[in-house]
Amino acid sequence: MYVCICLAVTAAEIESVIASGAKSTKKIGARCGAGTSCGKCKNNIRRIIEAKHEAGERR
Amino acid sequence: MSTQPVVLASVLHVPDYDLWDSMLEDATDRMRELGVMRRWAYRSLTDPSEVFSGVLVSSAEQAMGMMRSLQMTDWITRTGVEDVPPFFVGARVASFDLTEGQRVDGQFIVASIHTVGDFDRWMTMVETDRPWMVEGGTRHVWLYRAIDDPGEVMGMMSLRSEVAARSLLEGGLTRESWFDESGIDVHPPAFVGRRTRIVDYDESLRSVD
Repeated sequence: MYVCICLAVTAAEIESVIASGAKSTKKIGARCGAGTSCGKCKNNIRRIIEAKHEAGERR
Repeated sequence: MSTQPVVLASVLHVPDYDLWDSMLEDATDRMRELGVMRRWAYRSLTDPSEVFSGVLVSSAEQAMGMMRSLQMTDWITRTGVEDVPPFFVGARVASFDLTEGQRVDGQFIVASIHTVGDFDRWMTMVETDRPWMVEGGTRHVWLYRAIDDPGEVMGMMSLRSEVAARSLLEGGLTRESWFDESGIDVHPPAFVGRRTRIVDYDESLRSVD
């Protein structure tokens, strides 16, 4: 799925930068660009951060 | 990049459907400029503000160009959509006609975008489920694989009736099914809806499923 359609950034790319330590939309944007154009995908980026956080806690 | 036709599809929350629909109906020339061959829209049977919308374009490159265009974001947000949802971009990998050649108006649909652990195993599961689908009123099945993630798929099933569409969704969610990982992370939950629009901008598609 393409989460940031302005810059064609996929969910997998966002998950990858989260795994490498980016835990906020700002940091994710700085690493892969997602959410830095129109910004209307930021809520979806937050959902991915939360889901990854929850998945990490369950482990 | 793939040169076969690909779809861009998403489930949108559209506060004013009529306004959104008329805006797209008025955009025929722009659709053609962007290379759109067909577009469709289905409204959810459970939430009329939820719309499963998609377009078919001639190549992955064209899909990327359309997705990244300012026009795309404008169409999504101009009528009050606040969040731009994630988009599935993929090529068709299978199309099953379960009607034995009868021409069927697939007005109702169940659609799911999700990840699969093993694509080949998933395809086998879908094939195995053909009798179950026919019994449940499925008339046609289209399967797509994402261009950005080989483990991500979209399934669209047209159904003979609203009751059949709802039953398939409920039944599909209670068995080991194709919908296993829909509604997780950015994936929308499985969608059940009624067709409100299908427009062929490419005349040659009119007789094609």
